[in-house]
Amino acid sequence: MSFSLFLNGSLQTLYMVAVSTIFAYVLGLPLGILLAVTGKGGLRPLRIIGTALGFLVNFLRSVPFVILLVALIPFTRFIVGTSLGSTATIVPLVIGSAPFVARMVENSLREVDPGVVEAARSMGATNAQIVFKVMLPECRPSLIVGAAITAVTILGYSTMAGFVGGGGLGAIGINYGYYRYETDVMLVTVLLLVVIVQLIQEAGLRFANRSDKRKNKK
Amino acid sequence: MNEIIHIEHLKKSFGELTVLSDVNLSIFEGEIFGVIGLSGAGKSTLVRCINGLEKPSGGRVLVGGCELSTLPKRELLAARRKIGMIFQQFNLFEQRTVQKNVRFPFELEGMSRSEANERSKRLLELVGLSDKLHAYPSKLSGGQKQRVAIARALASNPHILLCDEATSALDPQTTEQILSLLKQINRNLNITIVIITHEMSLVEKICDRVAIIDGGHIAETGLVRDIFLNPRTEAAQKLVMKQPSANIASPLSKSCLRLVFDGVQAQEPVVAGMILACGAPVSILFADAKTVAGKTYGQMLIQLPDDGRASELAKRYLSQNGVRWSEEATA
Repeated sequence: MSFSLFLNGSLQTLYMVAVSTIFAYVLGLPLGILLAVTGKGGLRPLRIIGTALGFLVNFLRSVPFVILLVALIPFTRFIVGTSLGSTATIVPLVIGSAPFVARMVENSLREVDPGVVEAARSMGATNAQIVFKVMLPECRPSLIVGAAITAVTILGYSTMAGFVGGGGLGAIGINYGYYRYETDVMLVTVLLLVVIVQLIQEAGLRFANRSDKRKNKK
Repeated sequence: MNEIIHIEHLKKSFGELTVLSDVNLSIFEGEIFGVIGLSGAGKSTLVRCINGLEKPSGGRVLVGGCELSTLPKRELLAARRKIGMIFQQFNLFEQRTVQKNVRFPFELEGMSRSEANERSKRLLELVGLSDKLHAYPSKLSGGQKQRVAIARALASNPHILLCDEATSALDPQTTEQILSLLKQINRNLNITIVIITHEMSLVEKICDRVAIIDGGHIAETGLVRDIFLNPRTEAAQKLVMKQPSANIASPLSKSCLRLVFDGVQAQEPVVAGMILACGAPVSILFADAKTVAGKTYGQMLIQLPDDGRASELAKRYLSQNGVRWSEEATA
């Protein structure tokens, strides 16, 4: 049981979570905007596109992540060149969590007061201006909370990747703690994960509160 | 006077539900026009047809001679900028400062930051909020929020300002202040104002003309004074008199009279004189006096004695003394 093992594992986990969260938003944010805009009651309801996107997102979300992890191995190899290690794990993590991000973003956008959107429309704003200048800024605190929840979910997924050759704390827990019955290693791994989750959640909430001008004390 | 808003045979339905049917209205440049109706009468839908937030199901809405619903998208958005709108719930951007709220319409036009800042500052001075530039809406009172909303609505130099229940969430004193601000804007900037409300008192205070909307159509249109003194339709009477007869049980009544007083007569002891003239007691079922355009006007609903001769004497006395009256059937 060495210090550098855990340090490395933690850093790898943080790397996977951070990069995956960013790429999950690169895919999920536009998808979420599309869902909110084209869905029922959206800025520009388009029944066919809205329903098709909704179905795609639901479909991807209903595939268990462990299965997605294995099923995507050829694709991962094509993109990264290998299916082993932390970087390779990022591919299934992004694909598995982007639909989740899309729903989080959609939900945040739908929380925006319809009266505020109507005010913007009455001022002659285009739909694009309403999305980027009104809706996204107005729901920023909610988006930040959503990002923290997403990061924690991705952290949970990342530990499963240990089963198929992924890196990070999950791999340590599985390889040392589970296969070699090193209970103390398992315990430290879990403790580290708990600490990381707490940090992400707390930072997310603080950041969201600070950016929310509705409750700014100043 | 030029007609700035012209509505003819306007129909609007949402699926099965018809909200507006055959609405005809003319609103003139520079006036303050009231649209009054009970909730669900269709007044909010009507105002949204004016700035094209709702598309008419039938008929035409012309604003400045141009039919918004036929315009291509770009031109529709440009036309909307010339029609400001304020709301009951203010609808400010909560995550933007006061100044950035007012700057929003300038941002839409792509105006340079320094010019937008300068002009939003001036607008906030106009509504008396130059000390709140960097405050967030959550720190403002209701009246201040509506002032910000007014400044924001004025940013695009509109010809028309639509007010959708703009003072309904405010206390009476703040309402007064907002109304006088609106009056000032109407006079100094020559902006036509359309006020949507369910409160007759608001219309009396500020509007030149009023339309009464009931069940999706216009029941009556006219000068505020005329409608108030002589509400012809049931909808108008309900709003003016708040339907007194419905609340009063009067098993003995054969007939009731609605008396209409204007300025001078309200001071004279007409009712006392009438009782002396007919020699029989009358009961006063409802009485109300209001100040419209600087003069006091009053209405009274009285129950006449059963004695036919006494009734005739009373009516004759009223006519001789210049009090307008009409027979009312009680419920």
